[in-house]
Amino acid sequence: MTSVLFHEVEKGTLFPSEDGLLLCSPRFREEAEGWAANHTTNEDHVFVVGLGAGFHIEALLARCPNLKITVIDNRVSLGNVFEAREIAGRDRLELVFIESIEGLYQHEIMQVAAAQAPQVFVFKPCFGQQEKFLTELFRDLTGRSLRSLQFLLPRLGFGGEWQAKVTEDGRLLNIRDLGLVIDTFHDGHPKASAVRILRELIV
Amino acid sequence: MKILVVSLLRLGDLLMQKPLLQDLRRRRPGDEIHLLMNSSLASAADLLPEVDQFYLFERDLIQRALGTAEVPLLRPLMDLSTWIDAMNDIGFDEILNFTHNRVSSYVCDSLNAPVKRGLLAEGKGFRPLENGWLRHFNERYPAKGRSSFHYAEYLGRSFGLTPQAGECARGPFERIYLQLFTSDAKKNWALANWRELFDQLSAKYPSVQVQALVAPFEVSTARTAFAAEELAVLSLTEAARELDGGALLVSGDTSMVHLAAVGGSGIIQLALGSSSPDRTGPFASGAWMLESTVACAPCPARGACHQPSHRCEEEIPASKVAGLVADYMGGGLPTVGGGLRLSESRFNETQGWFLAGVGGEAAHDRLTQFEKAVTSLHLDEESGGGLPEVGSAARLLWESVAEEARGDAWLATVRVLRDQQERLEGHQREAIAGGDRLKSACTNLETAGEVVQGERRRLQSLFASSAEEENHLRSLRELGVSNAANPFSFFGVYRQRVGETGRRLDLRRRLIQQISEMGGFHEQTFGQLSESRVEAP
Repeated sequence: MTSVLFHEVEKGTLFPSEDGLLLCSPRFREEAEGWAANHTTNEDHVFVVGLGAGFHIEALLARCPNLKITVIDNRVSLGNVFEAREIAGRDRLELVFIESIEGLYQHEIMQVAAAQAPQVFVFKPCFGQQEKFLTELFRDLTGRSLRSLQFLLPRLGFGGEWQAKVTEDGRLLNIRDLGLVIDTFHDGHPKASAVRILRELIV
Repeated sequence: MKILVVSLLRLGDLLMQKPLLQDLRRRRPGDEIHLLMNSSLASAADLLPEVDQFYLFERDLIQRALGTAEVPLLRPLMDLSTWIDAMNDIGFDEILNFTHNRVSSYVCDSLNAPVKRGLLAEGKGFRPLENGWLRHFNERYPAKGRSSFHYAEYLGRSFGLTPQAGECARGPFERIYLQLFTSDAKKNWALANWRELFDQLSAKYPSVQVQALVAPFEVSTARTAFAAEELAVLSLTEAARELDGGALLVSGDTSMVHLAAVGGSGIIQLALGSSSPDRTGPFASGAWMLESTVACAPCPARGACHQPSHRCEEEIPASKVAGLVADYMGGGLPTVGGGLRLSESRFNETQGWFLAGVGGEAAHDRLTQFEKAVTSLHLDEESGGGLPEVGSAARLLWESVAEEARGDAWLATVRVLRDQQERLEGHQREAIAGGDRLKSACTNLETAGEVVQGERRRLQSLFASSAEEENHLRSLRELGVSNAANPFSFFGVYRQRVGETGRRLDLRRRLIQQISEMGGFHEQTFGQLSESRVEAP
């Protein structure tokens, strides 16, 4: 694990850095507001991958007064500093620290992902040295990796040995991949028509 | 009983289906009619009083979700499954798929009902189409070339419905609306043309309110040519209220045309680009449709215009359209001139909806009507159970020709062509004789003589022998009885042959005219010469 350091850039405000890389912009307020404006949502609950300094989370909590946010990161020290701040809407916020992919599948948020499929936002400026791992988390939380589909599909009644039919190649899986699985292994499934409707609607 | 009609198309298509919904209501007065439509058309519900209950399909939301990586892959599936469960809780007794595309067929497959009709998915494939009309619609409607049936008729007959078309008002009009834009650039008439038309109409009809009709998102583009007070920015409900018998709409191929057909306003449609008025023209009688006859029209629906310039549009100047408006309002019979075709939509109980050429093409109209009648007969028989004998309709046709006593539309058409041909043969003989006289008289003018001789050779090559007509008919007869797999393939070839004959007759007519003019010119010239110079080259 790399080391995260904190710098007091202005009075009372700590900026994190990882191996010399700042995890938010020096113009952090504009950055956080801009990000939150682009992610304003009517959803009840969202996942956000990447905590960083957490200014973007505060901005989103402020913009969406009924939104519950689960933030996922693998750097506990970021959480400690963030928790020390006074945050409006803290009761709607959950911080989850996952240090491995195996850990993700043992954590209850994967059950939430399976049952509710919340949208998964990312705050890339704070990925720092963790880009590869956090991107993997994003792929798994959105069900767009082979591994996550293996976890999620049986819960919808799509079991079987379909994995060989789908080639991942590092890309995000989409509904066409699911359509292939349905056509090959689950033609008569009650939800097969729904998958086919979705496949036809891809622009 | 709860009948769910699935209509997941655009506004114009939905409006063209209104006569079907009306007929469904008329035939099944005690049943509940439920309509599933795209959520983007929610405001159209006010226009469909025949429907008891509306459901919205969130197509746009689903598509956005599918295209957003942040939305989990299975989320749209979960949401759609929830919606399907809710729809199935309603308990439909019958589902009619008016949409005829893959999405709607899968939607119908996912919904439960004891009876389902229309294009239906079954697993990853499709159920066989249940009647001849549906099959014909499926196979022939998307094909290039003129169609004998309007979209509403095809769809209606597929479901045993008989849509009734309304009637367009013919004035006097209090308002003239010019719909500036279509949903497809290649169907648009240039904004400069609309501006010119607007000015001409405003000057000519000072007591009529002339306005340019635009959607809110089109205002900024429209403002490059029109002042704000010249624009009418109307919601769908407002437009429906305005487009009644007191209004005339001049438009390209837009949903407003279908709204006007529903409301009974006057309609002049400029059918440009991929517009096919014979398939999707306003389903009302009395609308005028102006088309260019350039070879590329109508072009394919997909893709942009592939010509170096928008040729079909260039054929239609603003002054021509202004003249049409005057004729439409005044009850005049226009002549549109070369390069353009003007049709009027008509409707009656026996023939249904059809386009009639304004100012000519009677033989073509009869041919179209005959094809439509025979196709209807065949498809009705087929839909009623059991396939007819292969080629039976074609055989019947030829028997009627052989009898010659039955003055049906076919014979009328043949006679028109035959009379025309005989008349032209006479002209040809005269012209060739005239050309011969000319040639023998002016051998000293070799250039002119060669030209005339060349034209004569071209004429002769068009109709190689005097028995050509008989051969033409004989080959068709053989085709109809022995070779045609079904009446449609027969009619396909038949129409092609008649089209060829028509083109050749037309070419010959023009050549004869050319020769006559040439002869007249030379005769006039020779008349100025002394007799000795002509006789002694």
